[in-house]
Amino acid sequence: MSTMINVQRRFWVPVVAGAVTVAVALVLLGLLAVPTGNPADSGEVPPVAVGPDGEALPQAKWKVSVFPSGIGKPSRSQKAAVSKQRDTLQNVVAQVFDALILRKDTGRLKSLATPGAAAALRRSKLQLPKDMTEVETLRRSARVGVDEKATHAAARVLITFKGVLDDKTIRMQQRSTLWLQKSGAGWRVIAFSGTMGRLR
Amino acid sequence: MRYRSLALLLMITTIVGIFPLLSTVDGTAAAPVLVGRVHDNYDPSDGKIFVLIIGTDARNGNPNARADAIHIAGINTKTLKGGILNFPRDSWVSIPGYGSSKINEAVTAGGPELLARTLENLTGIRLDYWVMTGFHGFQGAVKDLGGVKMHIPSAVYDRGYSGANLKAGTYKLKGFEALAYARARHPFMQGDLARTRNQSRILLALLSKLRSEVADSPAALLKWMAVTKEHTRYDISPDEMFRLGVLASQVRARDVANVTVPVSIGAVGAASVVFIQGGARFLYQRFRQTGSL
Repeated sequence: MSTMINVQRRFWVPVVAGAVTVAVALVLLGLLAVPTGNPADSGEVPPVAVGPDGEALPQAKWKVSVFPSGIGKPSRSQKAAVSKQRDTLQNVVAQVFDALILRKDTGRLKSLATPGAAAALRRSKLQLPKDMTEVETLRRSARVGVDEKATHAAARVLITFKGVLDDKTIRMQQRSTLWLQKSGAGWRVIAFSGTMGRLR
Repeated sequence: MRYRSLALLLMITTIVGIFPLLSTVDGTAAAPVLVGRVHDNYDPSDGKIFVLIIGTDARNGNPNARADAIHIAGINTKTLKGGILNFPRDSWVSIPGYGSSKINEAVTAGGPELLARTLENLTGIRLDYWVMTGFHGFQGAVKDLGGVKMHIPSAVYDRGYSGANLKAGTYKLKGFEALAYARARHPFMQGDLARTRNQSRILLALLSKLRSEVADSPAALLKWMAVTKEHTRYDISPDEMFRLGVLASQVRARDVANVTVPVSIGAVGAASVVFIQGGARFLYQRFRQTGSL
């Protein structure tokens, strides 16, 4: 009897240990795969965002909240519909403003906005001042309301940054609103408004 | 003690049961807000959009609703300046296919589309959309939006007709108060002309409210869209409604002129009517060309 127990223990202990190891590894992989709430970053460093010695300047983390908006308390189906769009909306908002402020993937504006809105964004005063360099974003945040069927959204965006212009370091702030509409599997900006100015 | 509790319960039940009947002006419900496109091929030429806004006396038990409120709202999408052109309901006009009659008969005869054609023929303005509401739709929408802040220049008491009982001052009107104010004409010397102008003032107050709420939080537009969907039947796409809503939220009420067509009072047979004066054509022309008044 004791021999049988010893054999069983010898058999099961490594099996259990192995299972625990695999489970821990899976959990770690899962944690790495789950979106952290921050929009995906390609890792590419735009030329305006490098320091005088060529080092990549730190950029503020995007803080984007996406919430259902309508009459009264949101229903379960509205919360579910909004939850499904959360990551996509976060990415769209982040990519639009990173294109404007950090000059990242400016060509992507075409796919992030309707043709008219994309052209207007490129012409707008919401873009980084022309000769500014060493850009470091200090704050990047957005609050995005989404309607009941998750087909229309409105985002209020605030970006604070500093950079070097005419050999002086200046701080600026951009406040803007994006109006978005679902387009296929993604979202597009259909209209926007905003202001950008120097911070004293 | 037991009988007192029962009596109290009976009283509460009676009051709760009667209240919904008391909350509407005449105790009956009415049609929701309707929105439609005037022409199949939407074509806001030169960045101007014109919307025909119709308020009817539609309510249950009244199948022949007539238009009591008739306004053309226009906006220049480049300058964001606009105007609301008001037409008194007794205006004597030519209704296509029906001859001359009071303008408010057009809706009864052929719905909002006939009224739109009547006004297009009269003004030369190509209308893009129409919005139509009855008592219930308007009252319900204002209620769900949390009321509308208005300046009432002088007290309005009109209990026997519209039910208006409003003190002078600047304050928030509830749904039934806004409806009563929009309907009241007896307390005013200018009667229907004053009522027509007050209806536009309510529209401008709602526009101010929209702009202010969206400036605080853009997501507020989505609440307005939800309220519109709740009280509206429309055959334009939600995307189109959204774009119109975005546009409207950017317009300042002070950049929208409130103008009533010049009229003179007269009669046709026994019917009391108003005749639109010739000078109105300059208003139509300016509105057509610029989208504002």
